[in-house]
Amino acid sequence: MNLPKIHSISKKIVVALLGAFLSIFLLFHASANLCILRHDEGAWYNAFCDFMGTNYIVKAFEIILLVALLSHIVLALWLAITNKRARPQGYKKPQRTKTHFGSKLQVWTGILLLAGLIAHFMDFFFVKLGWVDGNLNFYQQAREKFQIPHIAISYLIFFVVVWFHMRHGFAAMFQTLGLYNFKYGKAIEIIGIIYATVVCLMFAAVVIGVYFGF
Amino acid sequence: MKFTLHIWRQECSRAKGHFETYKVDNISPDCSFLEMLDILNEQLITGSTLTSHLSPSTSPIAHPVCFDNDCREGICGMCGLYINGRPHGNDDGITTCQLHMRKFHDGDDIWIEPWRAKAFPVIRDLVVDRSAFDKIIQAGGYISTTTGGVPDANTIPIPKHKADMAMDAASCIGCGACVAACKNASAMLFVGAKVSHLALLPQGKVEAADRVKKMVCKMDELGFGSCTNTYACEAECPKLIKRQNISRLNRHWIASLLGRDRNS
Repeated sequence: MNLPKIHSISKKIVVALLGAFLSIFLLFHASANLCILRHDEGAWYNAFCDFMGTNYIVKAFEIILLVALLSHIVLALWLAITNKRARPQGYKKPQRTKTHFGSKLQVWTGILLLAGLIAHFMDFFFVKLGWVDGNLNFYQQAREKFQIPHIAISYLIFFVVVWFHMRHGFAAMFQTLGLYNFKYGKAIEIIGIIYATVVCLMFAAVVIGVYFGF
Repeated sequence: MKFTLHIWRQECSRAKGHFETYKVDNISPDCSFLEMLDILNEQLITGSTLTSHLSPSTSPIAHPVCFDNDCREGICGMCGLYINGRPHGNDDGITTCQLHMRKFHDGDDIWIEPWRAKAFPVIRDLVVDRSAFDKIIQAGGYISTTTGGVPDANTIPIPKHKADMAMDAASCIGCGACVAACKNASAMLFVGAKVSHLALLPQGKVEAADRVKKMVCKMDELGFGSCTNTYACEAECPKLIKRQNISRLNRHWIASLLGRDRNS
């Protein structure tokens, strides 16, 4: 089967734009999650979930988000396969070039994220869709899940993987979109680290907070 | 100094390659890496080198080790060996011919491999065919207008910082270390440098959009991988060409897709 001809840079630009969109959504998701830490029996959080589940604009946005996520994954894997083919025979000696740790792991952190996302969807999103049995009171569901040690630890590991993926992805996005230059290069990298750290700490704060009974 | 060399030997592009091991002794620390290979080759010709064969399924190769080289002063871009896991060996901002044996420890094992990329097929031993780079340049890495005689230096005003950036990009010698270092065998730093050094100057700006389209299409067609921003190319470039040239390439690509030229 002949795949449509899309140039490598174009594919990367689409991956970068979708990554930016998903990163912004993560900040929104993490902000909403902080409502779980309120001691209001889930009034705020469940109201937010109701709004997300009933508003038609939000539902349309949800479809866009899923399409963006799947496109990001498919294009990134397509690029990874093409890249693998560009060097049919590897080197005998492992590479000793000094490069950023996270950059080499981007595909692997992406695959780990996909596995983590499926597990996360099994807990919440698929329950909402009715594909999996579970508690539709997501406040209660989250509070119950995050008090189980192995689930809490799994989520914290998941956030570390998210951090690595976002930390590299943020600066890489600017590079791919041609916005990285001598003047702002360092600032972009620092902002990327701050953004990834803030988002992941917001997610982690909810898990740690619930686990320790806040 | 004495070394144990593990060298990739391959009779021709279609033959199966393998590593052969050679012992070299009495090498001066001030000897360059290529001079050390010259000494090995002399010993191979006279039959005075200890050879051990790692691949029992094939017979040892009798001819001297073939490797690319020309100026031996780091400006021509001909030499290029992957030495102990690094293109051009264990130092920054140098070509293989500028690598000296004092950078190694006495008694070291040295693994020497050719550049590995689908677009750079091995011709023989450590020699690879880098004509893919020529094809990319032929696709659009030039100015097609007739510029006439050399104008006076200040006839066309160019800001100093742009002239400097163009000069830095133009220092690319096309050795292929960027492709060899990149885990995806991507030529983005090479193409980025070639696009940049022309697009940054008024003479090259006119055809910038067309040039970037042609060069990127050719790069993809020749089987180079795409950039995943690991910046191994930048780390290994003997001319220290920066990743910002890749960013500029991307910027020009977007501009060309949107159908408009833009200033660099």
